[in-house]
Amino acid sequence: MSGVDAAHGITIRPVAESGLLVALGDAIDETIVARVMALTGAIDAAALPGVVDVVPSYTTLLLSFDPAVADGEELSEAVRRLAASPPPVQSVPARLVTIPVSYGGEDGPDLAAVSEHTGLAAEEVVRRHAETEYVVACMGFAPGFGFLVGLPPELATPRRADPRTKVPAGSVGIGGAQTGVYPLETPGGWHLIGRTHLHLFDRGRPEPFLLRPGDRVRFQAAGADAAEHPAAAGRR
Amino acid sequence: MTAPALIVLGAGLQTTIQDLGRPGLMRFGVAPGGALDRRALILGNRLVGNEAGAAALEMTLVGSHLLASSPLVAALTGADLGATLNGASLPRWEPFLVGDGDEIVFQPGDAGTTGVRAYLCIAGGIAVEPVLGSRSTDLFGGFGGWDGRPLRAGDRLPVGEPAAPFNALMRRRLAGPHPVSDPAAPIRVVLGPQLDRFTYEGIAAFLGDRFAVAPRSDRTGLRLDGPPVAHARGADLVSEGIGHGAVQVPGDGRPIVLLAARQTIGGYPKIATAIGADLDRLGQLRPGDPVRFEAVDVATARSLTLAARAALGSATVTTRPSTPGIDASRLPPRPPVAEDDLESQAVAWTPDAIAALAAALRDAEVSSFRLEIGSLGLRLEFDWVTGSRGADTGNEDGGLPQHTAPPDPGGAEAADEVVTAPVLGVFYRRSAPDRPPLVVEGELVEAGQPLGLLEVMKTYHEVTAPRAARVAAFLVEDGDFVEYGRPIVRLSPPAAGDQRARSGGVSTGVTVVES
Repeated sequence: MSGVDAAHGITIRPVAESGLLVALGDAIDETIVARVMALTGAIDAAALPGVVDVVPSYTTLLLSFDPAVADGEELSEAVRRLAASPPPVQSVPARLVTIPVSYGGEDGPDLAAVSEHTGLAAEEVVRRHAETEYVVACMGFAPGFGFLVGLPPELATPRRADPRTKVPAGSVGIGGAQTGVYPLETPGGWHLIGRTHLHLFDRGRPEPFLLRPGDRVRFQAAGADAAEHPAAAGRR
Repeated sequence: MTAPALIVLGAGLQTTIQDLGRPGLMRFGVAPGGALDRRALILGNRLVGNEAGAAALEMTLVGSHLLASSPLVAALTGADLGATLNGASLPRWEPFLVGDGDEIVFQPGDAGTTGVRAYLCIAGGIAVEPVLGSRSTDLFGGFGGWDGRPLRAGDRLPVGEPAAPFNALMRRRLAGPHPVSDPAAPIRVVLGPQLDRFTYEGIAAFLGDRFAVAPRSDRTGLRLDGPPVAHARGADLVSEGIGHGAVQVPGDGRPIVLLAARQTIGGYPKIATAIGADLDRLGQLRPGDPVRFEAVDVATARSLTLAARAALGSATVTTRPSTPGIDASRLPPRPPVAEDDLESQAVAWTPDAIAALAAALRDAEVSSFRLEIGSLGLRLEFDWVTGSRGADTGNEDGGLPQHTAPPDPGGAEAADEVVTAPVLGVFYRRSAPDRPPLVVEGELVEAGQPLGLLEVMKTYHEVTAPRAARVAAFLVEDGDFVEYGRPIVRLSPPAAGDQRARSGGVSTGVTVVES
């Protein structure tokens, strides 16, 4: 069953008797993320019998199924066919989610540390972080936590040497080459550069999760206005 | 009439409300969760007439002390954690009746030596609101079950409407023998999906027989102590989804078997995944248990898992006829009797009467007694406990005698007593590595004063002094892994000249520090 379909760069390996790990690449790359999301959408739309869950990530998707209903080999073949076909018209369109962020100050206690590490002024860190469009590659660590791909490489800052035992909910952080928003108060090791008042996970909402894998995300500096925002005014 | 409820008087180690979880949300970072021993939950629910996925209490190692505020029918399944009802030990795998005011107390000294999690299934289920489609508790996310947290003293759990009258539920039994689990049997796995990330030595170590469950294991996963499982080219992997039973190996070479409450995405290579048929067994492995993995292919994994599922499906529940010999309809009508007239044939089996009977039996030095009361659907067993139970409370109302301390290894005075481990775990003399020990040898301590901490399943329990005393000697080292009942510290009476005020009563040996 673990075959490599060279024409389409897809590898499928079994995960015990109730899972398939479908790999479409081996490096973090927005094109591969897009292919993973397209295949996820196709599998969702096909409503293959027995599929219990699909977990997309940077280069893979994990498909879990009920072995009493579906056969791993047949499901594998179905996934290959879907991967080889053009994306279905019905797949859920990617959305653009805008997240307002109050950068720096008490909301971003590590902005100075990021500025120092990157050699960029704090305002420049904020400007570059906010003007980038990211993609939600996967979600994990906590309910509603999206791992975002697309951080400008010059903003990459390693995790803190001493992680915090409590990161406030809504904090926006940079960890290595990744950025994201903490949906709950949890321990965390990323450098915190700002905070949003939005709840990325609200169990009372009809749509509890603000983000979905494949969504595009932009951060918007709160109070951002051509006249007021220091970065927009060109101050360095 | 008050709504039926179970009131928590004592938290236990970690009790959470669980059902069959919330599958299908992993892409949002939500683990499926649910009972770690699904078979035990399903059978327990069937025994009390609930649907298979009704919410129940999952108790871990030390169960919760519960008070019923109305009559209930319940069943206990999973591990034997030493449950008693008003002082008498409770059967597992069959329904029992709990009266208004009755208390369920867990006596670790009566517990079995295998298994970690017991399930208390109540007819009607635990009636909390579902969150994201399930009543299971997501501890990391802080939602579901009882407000996303383990139970605490003072919680009042609502119980739903039973599916049938009590006398019908009370006659339900499993059709076959009670499930038994062999903790020594190997865990079957399918190797991969990243088998190529490990050396042959690493794979051989993984399939060897030298692993044991580490104390820092919990609902998210079993950490294993044992030989390192070596990687072929580093331990970093682009993060991917993690299935239930996946065995991932981080950089330190120590495998972790991921369970129902796992993080959904991870970046360590996975050497194998446990088969579906063995997942419940993983949920019952306790710290210290040996673990051995056996590799099977996908086809074998599939047949084993489907066979296990079929066996569960056909583990039907039958309805027994009324207890032979005690058919309430054939008893002579009962004349009114004084409640303390135990010599009369027709006795009213009130809780007070049963307690008085127990006291009478104890005074007569009867060592064990069995009585089945068909009209109440109750079976009472009295066994006078021997062996250590830790520094726990006595059962004042005609219950069991105080335990005697186990023999002390070294030079004890006649009046010395030994405090034993109230639960298994890793013993620490200090609350943090950089802090001084909580107490030192020779120090005077008060009743309830913490002498040390036991860490198990990522929670901490204080080991406390049962009365005012002087610390004579510690019998274990800082960092030792101790089994339940292991002597930890010897206490001697306070010196004659010390007249410290003594607090009344005897404290329990277990206090949850973090809930």
